[in-house]
Amino acid sequence: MVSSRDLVLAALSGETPERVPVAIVSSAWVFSSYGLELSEAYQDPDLMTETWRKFDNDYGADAVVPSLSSTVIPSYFGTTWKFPPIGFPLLQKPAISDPSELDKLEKIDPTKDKSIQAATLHAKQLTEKFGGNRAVWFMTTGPLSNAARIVETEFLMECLIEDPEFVEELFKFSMDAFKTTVEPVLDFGVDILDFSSSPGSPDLISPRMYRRFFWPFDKELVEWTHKKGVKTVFHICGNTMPIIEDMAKTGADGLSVDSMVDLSAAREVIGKTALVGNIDPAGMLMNGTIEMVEKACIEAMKTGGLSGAFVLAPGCDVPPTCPNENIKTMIDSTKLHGIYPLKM
Amino acid sequence: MEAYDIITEICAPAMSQVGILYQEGEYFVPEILMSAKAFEAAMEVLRPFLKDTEKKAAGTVVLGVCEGDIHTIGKNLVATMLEAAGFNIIDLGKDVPAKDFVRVAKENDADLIGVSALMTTSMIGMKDVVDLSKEEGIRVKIMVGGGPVTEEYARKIGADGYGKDAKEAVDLAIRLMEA
Repeated sequence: MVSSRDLVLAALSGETPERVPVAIVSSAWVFSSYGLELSEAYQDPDLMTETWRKFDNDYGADAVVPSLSSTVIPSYFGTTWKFPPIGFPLLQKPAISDPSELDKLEKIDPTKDKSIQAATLHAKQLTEKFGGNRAVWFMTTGPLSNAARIVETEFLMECLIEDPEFVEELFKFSMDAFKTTVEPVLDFGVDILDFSSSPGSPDLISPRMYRRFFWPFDKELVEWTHKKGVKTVFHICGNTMPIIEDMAKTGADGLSVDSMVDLSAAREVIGKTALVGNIDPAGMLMNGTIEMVEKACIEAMKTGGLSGAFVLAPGCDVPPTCPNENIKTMIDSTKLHGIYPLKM
Repeated sequence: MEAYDIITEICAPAMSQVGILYQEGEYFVPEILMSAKAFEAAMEVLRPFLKDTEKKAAGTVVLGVCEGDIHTIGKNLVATMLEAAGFNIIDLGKDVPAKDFVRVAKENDADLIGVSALMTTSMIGMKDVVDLSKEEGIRVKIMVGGGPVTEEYARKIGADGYGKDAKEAVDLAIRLMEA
């Protein structure tokens, strides 16, 4: 019998595996559902690994997902956060608020940061424990998303018009920091690097601006990751249809798309590049019933995965308050209805 | 040309055009932020030349982003567009508890409260603003908006209206003032 890892890697290679693979790409939800405080969990590799072991045992998804949380790299440079009891971390003060401050930031040294060390060790532990059986899917907030946390998003948006040279410099700086941080993890033999580039979303900027400022960096990161022998999944939030062809042209193995993207329309444009998604995290996983979740999974497989090259996953990060039974239903219904050839 | 006429006949229609260009997919957030900056710069120059009688606003709006949410871009655009349309704005910023919306609205005898949220985890705070304003018995209308918010959600929590974007928010505010 083929392993979960084989299913995921076949899908990300544009092939049709025996069954549609399913991945819960959200460590925030997994940790919250086992009662962990996110700010503490991210500092404790053993606790994170043990929690993923429990999740794997209880739910049986095809991937384990070590992650580098969205706060880690920006915090290294001085960005501060507020951690609400429920929900995602909130940026309080960005590391820099003026372009002149970029030169004052020192290069990142991952050995000096407890959270980076914890994320790295956690990824290593999961690779050792699950490697070869489950796909080890390293989820990160990508360098250009981090850039919008080293400065504030609104400031970045203004600089795209007022100070394009600064944007280039900031993106280069953030890219270097990102590569330095994740390189050891890729060298452990994780299967997939998943990165986001969300300030490039057509919900925020024009496709023209995406192509000019973001695309070259997204492509560079995909190529760098491939040289390391690791597959790439690339996520941008929101309706990415206006740029999905560009996203595919980065050479990424999988495009992780949000719930508002029409999977069959996306498929027509991107050919055999894998689609990853796109169950609505809020409307469906948080607020839907198990019957609704099952129906949504079948619909996603039918529209996105009829001829393979598809991993069923949430469309974006899962709210910590999403009920356990909806996640379980998502996994079970994929296993039940996702055997190829799909009978639907 | 008088300062007041420059605002009402030139700046406000220009911002309105910005809203239309956004709805048509021609403008995106960076272009809108630049337009808003230009509008604010014009207002800085023109404000000292406004006569007292001309400062009479179309209404007072208390604006803010829900508690637990720091995404201010949408709210800032709505604030600028409402100002361009002649409203007096009290901007409470981000991560605003429900009680602060209601307290400030009460203190300033506001006509409208505008609540924004970009996250599903924070938009639940909108209901608290609606419930608390009813509890306090203040005569204020509540409008909501932001990424995950829908017309249906607005109705469900008992808000008076929903705006899909900044342009709709202004149209809605004007309608609510007339109602």
